[in-house]
Amino acid sequence: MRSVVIGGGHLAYFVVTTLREIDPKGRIIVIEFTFEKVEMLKKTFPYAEAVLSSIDKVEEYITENRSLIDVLVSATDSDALNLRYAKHSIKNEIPIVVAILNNPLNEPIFVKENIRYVINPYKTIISKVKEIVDKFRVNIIYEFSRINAGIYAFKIENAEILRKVRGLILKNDLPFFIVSSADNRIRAGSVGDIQIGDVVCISCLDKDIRSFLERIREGGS
Amino acid sequence: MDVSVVFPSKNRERYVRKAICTAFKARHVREVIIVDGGSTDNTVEVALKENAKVIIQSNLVYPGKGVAMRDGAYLSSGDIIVFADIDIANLTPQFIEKLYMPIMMGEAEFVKGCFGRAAGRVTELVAKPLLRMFYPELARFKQPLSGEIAGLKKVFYQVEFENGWGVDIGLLIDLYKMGVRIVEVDLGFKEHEMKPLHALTDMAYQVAEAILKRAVRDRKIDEAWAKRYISAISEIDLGGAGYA
Repeated sequence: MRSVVIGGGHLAYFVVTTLREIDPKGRIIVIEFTFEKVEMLKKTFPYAEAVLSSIDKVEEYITENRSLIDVLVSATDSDALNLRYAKHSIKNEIPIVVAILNNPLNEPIFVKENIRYVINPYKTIISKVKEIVDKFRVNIIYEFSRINAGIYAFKIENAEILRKVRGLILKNDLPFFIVSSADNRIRAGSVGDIQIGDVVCISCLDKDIRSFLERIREGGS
Repeated sequence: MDVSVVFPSKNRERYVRKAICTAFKARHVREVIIVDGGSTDNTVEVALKENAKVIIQSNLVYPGKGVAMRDGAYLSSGDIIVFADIDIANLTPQFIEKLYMPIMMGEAEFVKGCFGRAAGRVTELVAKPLLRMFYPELARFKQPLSGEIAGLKKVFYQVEFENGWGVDIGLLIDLYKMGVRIVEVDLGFKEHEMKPLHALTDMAYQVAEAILKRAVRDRKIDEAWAKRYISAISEIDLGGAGYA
């Protein structure tokens, strides 16, 4: 696998180490704009190639190497650049294009530009704070980017929600597990085992969970 | 040569439509970019409706004028980039054209706008005295902190943008040091909202820091002395309770 990572900051650090873990024999090219950072990258990632480029030459590099690049991750500290490079890579039909956000508020702008894989590193803050402070009331535990699905948690606060969650699971034959309110332990079981006070974690498609949540909000069945 | 116009903006819903429409009326302008600092009003929605390119600045630290300008420059596709305040009440296409025409004519690579009024307090009390001390050749500029500027894109890509209010003075010094041809053009009268006094303290500090940082880099001043000076400036309150 040949991967290109643009940017040499702390976002890129996690990307490069993960790509190395996924494919230890793969080729990783890191493009950076300052000489000092390139020198530092060479020392930090001896297995990767650190390339010094000017901001305006990156698109040229992508176009010239389009048939050789399997994965391109734009992880600079500017969302403007990440948007620009991701758009150019998609136009050049790079198989996997990933953009990492610096500001989560830019997510809709990237999505509107048809950038499918947008990583918002701050998303976990929302689910973690909800999990810790709000005890899972309704929460996105994990989202699978490739298949538009996720793992969602529901606090069973009353008999009505219990009935609806049981209905959702049975209707769609969804995999789930229960976090018991009695002992805070995770257990598998049947829908009949779910009790008021438990948290139920369901894995399903994003569109199904959204329509279910709307029905709950509207008070429908 | 194509021109991109960049407006850094935050909660400027009532100005954004007019600014975009006016910029598009200027000759050679192919795109208008709104770099939003996390508005809570409808600035972004209005900008998108008016066919501007929109990006929200890469960090939300306020004031992030420099980050906004950098992001605007990076997103632009024009050969020339114009930066202007979005809240100029008397903005006209000619105002924008005046900024980039010296570049079009080959007379300059970077243009600084100035106005027919006295410069602001931070300019007169902080920027100009420090420039006279360390960069006397730049003291000729009437308004070195003016946010109305234009330049060749390639020129902007060679310098580092300060994050905050130090960005304009930082660009002026760095581009001057690089040997870029700079001219100052008079844009006439500028009618816009004045910054409240309390906002000037941070601005003064960041402007002083940007100049002193470069004075240290250019070996015009000892680093320890600069730190002491910056620390002293941070104690000055240009807009404290006594003025309110």
